[in-house]
Amino acid sequence: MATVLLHIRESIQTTLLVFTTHLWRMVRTRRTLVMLMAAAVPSLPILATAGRSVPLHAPVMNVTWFLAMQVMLPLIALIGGAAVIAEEIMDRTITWVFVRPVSRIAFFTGRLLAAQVQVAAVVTAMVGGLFVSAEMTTGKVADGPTTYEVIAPVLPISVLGGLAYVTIFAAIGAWVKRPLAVGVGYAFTMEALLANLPGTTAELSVLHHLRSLLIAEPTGDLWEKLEVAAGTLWIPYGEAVSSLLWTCGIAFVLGCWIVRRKQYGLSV
Amino acid sequence: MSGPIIIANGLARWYGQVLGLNRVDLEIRGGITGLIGPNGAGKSTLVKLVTGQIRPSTGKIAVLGQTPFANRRLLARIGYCPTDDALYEDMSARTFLEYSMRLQGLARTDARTTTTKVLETVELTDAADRPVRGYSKGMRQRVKLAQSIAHEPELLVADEPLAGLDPLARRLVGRILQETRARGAHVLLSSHVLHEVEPLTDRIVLLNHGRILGQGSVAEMRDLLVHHPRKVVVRAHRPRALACRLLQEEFVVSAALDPDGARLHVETVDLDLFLERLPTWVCDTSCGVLSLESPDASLEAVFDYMVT
Repeated sequence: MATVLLHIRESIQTTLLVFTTHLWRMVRTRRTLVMLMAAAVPSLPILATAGRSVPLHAPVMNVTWFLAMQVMLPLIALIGGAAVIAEEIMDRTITWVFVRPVSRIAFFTGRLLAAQVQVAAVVTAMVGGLFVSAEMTTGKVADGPTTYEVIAPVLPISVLGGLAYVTIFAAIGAWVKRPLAVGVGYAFTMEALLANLPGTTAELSVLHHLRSLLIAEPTGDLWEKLEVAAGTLWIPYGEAVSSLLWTCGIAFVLGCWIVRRKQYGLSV
Repeated sequence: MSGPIIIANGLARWYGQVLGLNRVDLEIRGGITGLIGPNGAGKSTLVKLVTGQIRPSTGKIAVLGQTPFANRRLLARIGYCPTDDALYEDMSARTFLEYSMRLQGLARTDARTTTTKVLETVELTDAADRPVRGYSKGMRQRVKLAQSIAHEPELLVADEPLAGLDPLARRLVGRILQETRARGAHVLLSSHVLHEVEPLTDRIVLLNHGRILGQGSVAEMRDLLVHHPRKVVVRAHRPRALACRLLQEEFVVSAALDPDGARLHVETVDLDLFLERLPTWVCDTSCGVLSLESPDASLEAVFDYMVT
């Protein structure tokens, strides 16, 4: 029992060491800049509507539903998540870790947590950008929802979606040689296809869960009008949150298993 | 440990269709052991197997009595200096070494103390707080070596630690390896240049095409190599006269002139004796030597002899 506790304590210490060391390193990379640029993209079409006579929620909700959630969120998570292990392999620095007496799982967890914090921060900036740009536009309707009412629920949902995507892409990055290519294929082909299929098949995608969470919000009827596919079955709020957390957990366990087994000495 | 520190039985490793190591049986005892072979001989594969970065395709390997792959208990007792020049470019040497020592399991204060000490050992204290990206090849090599010796491992595995270093840096690395040996640790030193390793090693293992060509003390390996004729190319003012003189010696196998008569190609079974006596022959025959080179000085050429 004492040995197990000691092992757990060591693993937690390693996780914290890796997390604190690599978070600051990740934040200072060019990758963060690219992620921030991607996060700024959804604000641009909203700003383009400034001065035009359109209801507030129309551009903001369209941009959030189609561009932010469907394109930019997985893209930002892909850039951050794929790098968790792949960056160390590409830089050939993974050797320094795996010839040390450290738990591979603790190392993966530390880097993953750092990537999750980084992605959560960038996603927050993206949603913040949506809010600011919406506030800057002049179009308003008297009986429509306020900017805050539209944007506020998007933040926790996007962050949760970002965490799920990051964990999936981290597992992919630990497994394949070209995680960005595989990740793009997953995010923009499989996810997009599954999320837009009618019936319960859509439940296999992260995106469908995120949309379901938006639909469950007080402004849900406005979001639902954006959905063009007929016969979409939305997932209840609690079930969607639970599924996303399970997705995170399964992807994390899978990533740990891969990292523990894989011979990274072949890749460097 | 009085027994072998590394034991391999039928050890093989393939990379797809490419053979890295071919059914190697090996016993490496304590001290400094040189792992010698040309590029592609299988040295790095063996080093990766020893340091637990990869698993064998077939066969077994035991290092300090344990299976190495991802074995944390064993890795705590090993230091590894890779051939790769990859470092965390944004970190300073001090940060990198402290981080490495923390990963090794040292507490923060101990990691700091150890880092300061090892930076002095590798003579990097002055540059310790600069980012590694601005370091020269020699400085980077010293950082790599520092992280491998800082925790005073029982076994130090150094993959090409002398590659690309200037003479001063080589001397420093040589001194560090000798000091490591002196404190009772074992060293496995990989290199493709025999004469680099020779002054440092007690024993050498010759590898080529994934196979072990020979292993033993430096003297034993020398004896093994001596039986093969070595080539020497001499440019002299009177090459014919020199050739006539050389052919009188028993240890000179052949002496042939270039078609244009400019260079003399000599084969000798005792290169050391040949080089020792050459000045006398040059004086005897009054033929000034313009240049002297031995194309066999490279290990690849010696391996060619041994393979054929």
